Amino acid sequence: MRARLLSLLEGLALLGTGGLLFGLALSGRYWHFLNPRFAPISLATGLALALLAPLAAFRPAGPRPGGLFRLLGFALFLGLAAFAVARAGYVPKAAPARPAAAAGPAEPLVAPEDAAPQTLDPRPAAVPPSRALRDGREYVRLNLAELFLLADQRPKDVPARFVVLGQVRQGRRAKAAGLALLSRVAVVCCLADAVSCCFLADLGQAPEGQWLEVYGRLEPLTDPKLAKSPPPGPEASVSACNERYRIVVEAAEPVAPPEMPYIFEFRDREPFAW
Amino acid sequence: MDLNTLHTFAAVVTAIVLEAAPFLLLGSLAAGLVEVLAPEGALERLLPASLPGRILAGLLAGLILPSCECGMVPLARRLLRKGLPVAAAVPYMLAGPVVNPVCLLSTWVAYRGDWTMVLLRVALVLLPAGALGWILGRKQASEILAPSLETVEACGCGCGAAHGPRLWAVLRHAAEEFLDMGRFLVFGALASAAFKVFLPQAALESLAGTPALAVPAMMLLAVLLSVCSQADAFVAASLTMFPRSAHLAFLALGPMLDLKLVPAYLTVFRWPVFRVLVWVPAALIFVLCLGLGLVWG
Repeated sequence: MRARLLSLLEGLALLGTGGLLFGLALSGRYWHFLNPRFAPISLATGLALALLAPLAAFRPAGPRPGGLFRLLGFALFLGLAAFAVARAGYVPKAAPARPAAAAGPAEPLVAPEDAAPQTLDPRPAAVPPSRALRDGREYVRLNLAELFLLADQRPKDVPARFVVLGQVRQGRRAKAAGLALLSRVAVVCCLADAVSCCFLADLGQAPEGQWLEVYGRLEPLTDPKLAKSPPPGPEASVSACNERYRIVVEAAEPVAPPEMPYIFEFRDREPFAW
Repeated sequence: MDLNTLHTFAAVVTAIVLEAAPFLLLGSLAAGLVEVLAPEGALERLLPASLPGRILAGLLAGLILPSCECGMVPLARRLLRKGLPVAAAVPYMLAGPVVNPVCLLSTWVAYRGDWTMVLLRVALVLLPAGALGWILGRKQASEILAPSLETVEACGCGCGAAHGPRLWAVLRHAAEEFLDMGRFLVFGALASAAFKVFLPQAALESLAGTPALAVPAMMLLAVLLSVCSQADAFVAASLTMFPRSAHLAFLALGPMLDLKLVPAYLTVFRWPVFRVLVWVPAALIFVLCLGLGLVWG
């Protein structure tokens, strides 16, 4: 009787895991955990696990070492996952688009999913042109992760002038030098490999958490110590601040937080993923 | 622990398990296929008779049967039980997550086409995997597998036979394998998320400037973060404060030893085998990467 019950519960554990994968891949919350390009794989895996579930639930009873232990593992995981998914909509909202001078303290928690529907497509709905004009100067659009990799590995290929989107993070040492970190989280596969890519920029006065569209260029960082030990990134991401270059800000515009704040795509030449 | 920290912890656990689930399922299905369709001794007959030949076959098998480390342990244990010689199974289990087209490509992309990093990563994985194939290669599967595994059978009655149509048998074995290995994935993800959320990054970064400390620091980070071998190159490439030799230590050790793998190794293998699975790769990679650090200055 106990073995039958264990089999049944293990079948339910498989069904729960499969259902989670399937449901999450179809929801607008997938990107909180995994790169959206993996959604089809999650869908297929979820479906396969759901199909395996009855086989596990109704297999013949017999000796199964560790049955209770593995059931406990799956129960714990499903409980944590339910909590994480339910709360995934609640992210700290940065200051909305407004003049920097008018920026105030951080906004309360909101659920962006409630405000706007999301899609599984990691790219913005309307792809902007790869260049922007401002004050008669041309800027190449790219994302902070692309800029980070180019600056680190092929600095000669960094556009002379560029525009990047990022969130302001204040560090004590940098602030004393009139600088702040411009950062954005990049996710290759899942949240476990999230890296908060940062550059120091002349944004010492910008409020913490503010999203900015920054127009500028790179210049060598004279004091690399300023880039050491950046403040912790969001969602337990590893923080990596470029120690060779800083962004010389030619203009900065406060903008609303993007629907998906993470960077999921990386290109090494124009048009960049922006 | 406040609610936001708990949420971050839960989200990282969820992300790790969901990311690994497809690979674990693939490994489980492959294990089910091996269990039901491969006749006893057939795998051994496919391999060269010599020990070096078997080790070489195991080292390169990932090019044909690619998987990440999450799917490797169930597949390797099933291969061992079906008679694949230890000399091929252990090198395949350790080298397969790196010596496969997907991982090689991701490393090449993360390091912007730097073949030196790709080739050194492969070499640093092949050496310990080959060494372990040599050390354990003359043993029988029953000498390295934990005795408790003898009773794990998908048929449920303990006979080990495939009841009913073969497809059902394959799927039943796959489900059993997924459940059995999934628990280790979950407990490994819990440990990894705990370190990721609560370990101050600055503590590791402070070691970055000294190669003798940077290498072990990155090895520790590889074990604690438990990033999938298909994505770890991007994480390593972003840690620009660390020298290249430390990057290679991270890239070589992570796919062979991390917090997802430790509980699985502990259950699948006997204790002395577990110890060499931990210490041989760690010691070899440490020494080789320190040497590389000295050569590169």
